[in-house]
Amino acid sequence: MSQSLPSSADFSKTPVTVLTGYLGAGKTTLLNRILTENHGKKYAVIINEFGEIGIDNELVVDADEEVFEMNNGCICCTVRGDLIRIIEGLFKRKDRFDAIVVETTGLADPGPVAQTFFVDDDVSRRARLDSIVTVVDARHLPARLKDSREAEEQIAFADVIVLNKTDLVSPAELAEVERRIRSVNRFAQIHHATRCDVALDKVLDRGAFDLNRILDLEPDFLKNNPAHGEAGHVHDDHCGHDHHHHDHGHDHGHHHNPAHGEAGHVHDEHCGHDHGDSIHDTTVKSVSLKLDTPVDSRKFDAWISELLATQGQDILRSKGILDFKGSDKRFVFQAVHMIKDGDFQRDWRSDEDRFSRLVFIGRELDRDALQKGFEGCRA
Amino acid sequence: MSTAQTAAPGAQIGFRAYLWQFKSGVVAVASAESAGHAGFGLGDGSIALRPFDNPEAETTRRLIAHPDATLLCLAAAPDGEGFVSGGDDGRLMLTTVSGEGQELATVPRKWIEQLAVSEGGIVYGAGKRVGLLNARGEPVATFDDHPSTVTGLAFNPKGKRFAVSHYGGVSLWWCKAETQPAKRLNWKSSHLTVTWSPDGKFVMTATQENEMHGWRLSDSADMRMSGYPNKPRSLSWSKDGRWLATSGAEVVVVWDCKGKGPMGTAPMELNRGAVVTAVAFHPRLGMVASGDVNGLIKLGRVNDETSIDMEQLGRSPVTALTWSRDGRYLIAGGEDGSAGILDFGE
Ligand SMILES: [Zn+2]
Ligand SMILES: [Zn+2]
Ligand SMILES: [Zn+2]
Repeated sequence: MSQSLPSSADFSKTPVTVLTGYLGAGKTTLLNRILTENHGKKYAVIINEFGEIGIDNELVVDADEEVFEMNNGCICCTVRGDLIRIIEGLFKRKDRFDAIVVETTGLADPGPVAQTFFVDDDVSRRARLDSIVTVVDARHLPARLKDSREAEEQIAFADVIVLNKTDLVSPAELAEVERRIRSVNRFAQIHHATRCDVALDKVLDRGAFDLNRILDLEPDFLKNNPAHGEAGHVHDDHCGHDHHHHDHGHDHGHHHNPAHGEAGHVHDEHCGHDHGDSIHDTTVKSVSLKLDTPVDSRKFDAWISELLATQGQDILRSKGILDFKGSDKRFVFQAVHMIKDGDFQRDWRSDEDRFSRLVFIGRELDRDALQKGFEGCRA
Repeated sequence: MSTAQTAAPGAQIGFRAYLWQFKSGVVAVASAESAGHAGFGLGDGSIALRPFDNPEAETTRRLIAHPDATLLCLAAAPDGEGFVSGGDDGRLMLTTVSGEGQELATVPRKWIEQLAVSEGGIVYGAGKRVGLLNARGEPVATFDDHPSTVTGLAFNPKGKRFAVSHYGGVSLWWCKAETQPAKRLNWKSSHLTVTWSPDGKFVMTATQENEMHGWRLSDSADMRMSGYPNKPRSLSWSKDGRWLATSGAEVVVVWDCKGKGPMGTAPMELNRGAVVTAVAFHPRLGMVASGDVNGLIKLGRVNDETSIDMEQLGRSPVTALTWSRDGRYLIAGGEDGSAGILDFGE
């Protein structure tokens, strides 16, 4: 069942930052910096590991991570019942805080947290999800990705990744860790840190779930992606070589990688198919699709609705900008699992190329099938 | 004296309205009948008092029940001489109208969000735990066997049993037999509040999926009542247990619970307007007061299905609404701190 998200973020609503990551990655250090640094905001903190961490704040609420399925029976349409209750309770006295941080345990799936803000009317009336921030430990992440589905999901859901303890790894190891993160989530902003010393304005007030700011993420991504040929570079359709017309074969000239099925082919994350655990430890990956000619809005709506209804369990997050035929405005779109939202945004500028782009982060993503489906939406 | 015209020609309801504004939002209201005061439980942890015989009193007396904390629930004390309240400080307080405070229970680092009071006792919910106290506020027993946080509490009409809502359904406990297991009424959903009909026949809940769910206790038969655009959080019974008024729609949805129950019947719709956020059945007569998302108080009558606009309380959702036990006063509060007493006279 697909539900719609409330339209575009209202900035009079209280922003909520979700902070995820394993205990020991540096999450508590970052949380305490958010609470004590002078940024003029009072935070209410909803935490789950109270006993283990010292939090320096007036308004700390103990939560129990009560994940409830909605009654329609879909296992991915889950909400955090405790969050709904606590946020409602906090707003009985809203003069005590300006913003909320929700800390989750290392074992928590960020999906239900994010969905809570879209599914529950009483929550979305007052609060808006600002972004999901994941703190990872540069040294231990590779092991985490091997043994924990949650570690991978926390990276997959993240808008901002604080890659912490970079001083404890070599430059080569760091580049490798970053490549691994990118293979899961190509679109998050990655900030290197030692002792979580990331500037807080990179973490707070990101508006990552604001439809109007979806596009802003892309230039950041480009900046964050090391140059072609450098360590940590992730190939995507900005590289200038052909990834999105996958039908044309593996066109990675510079890789000298024979085509799929031919002798000597090396599987990598560009192949567009799932390589399984024997090759990658991670099962989540990102797919970016682009069309340069206008899209038919009805075809797109039918396709994306069907796609999310049938594969929404595996598609963790998706976002897009669409050039609909007959409209001068850009259409922006996002979804968390099956719960989607879309709205017309500003006019296309006369000096910019019109295009449509979709990004998916999820499991079992069949890039070729997605591309084919998207191509079918051409006007 | 302001007089409002009913939809039915000729009929008039006279009342006097006293309205004012608190700095903090109204979380809950209650009537300490024996002491002659209305109490307004505020987000800032205090209980504001208004005497029924002089609601216009210049200064509002404030009882600081939960210093530096948020009050989350409020009810009249069993003897009607004061108020019981729970807060996010994990404390259950008994505060008399004269200002004496007594801590009845404390649960470290938990919120006390749920409360129900009968003539014979008090139950409160904190996390998965329910505590039972006698009418004097002395602890009797605790009930811990709940699958998730307790979301609602309701005594049965005789005060001998109580219902606890939580994820997956409702648990029914006997006050005198804590060692017995609870009787479970199961329905896979997140249940948000619970109420027990005055005739003892039905237990009803509101769910996260914008539905009502109910059980007929004679045979544990399930009832499901849907069609709400919002969660039907506020539930109120007519005195005889025939009618159940509910919030959550642009009308007060009133279910007819005579006989086998309301499932499959079309409910009565009263007080049409904006989305209803609070309902309160008159304690004696067939009338339902409601407050909506825009702060408007309405009154509807069951026998001829007519409704009238009563008073604009504030500009925010009405969060709390109750009648004094004698039915003379309607006490109301809003999210923005708007508050009022409507006096219907003798
Ligand atoms: Zn789903
Ligand atoms: Zn490349
Ligand atoms: Zn391949």
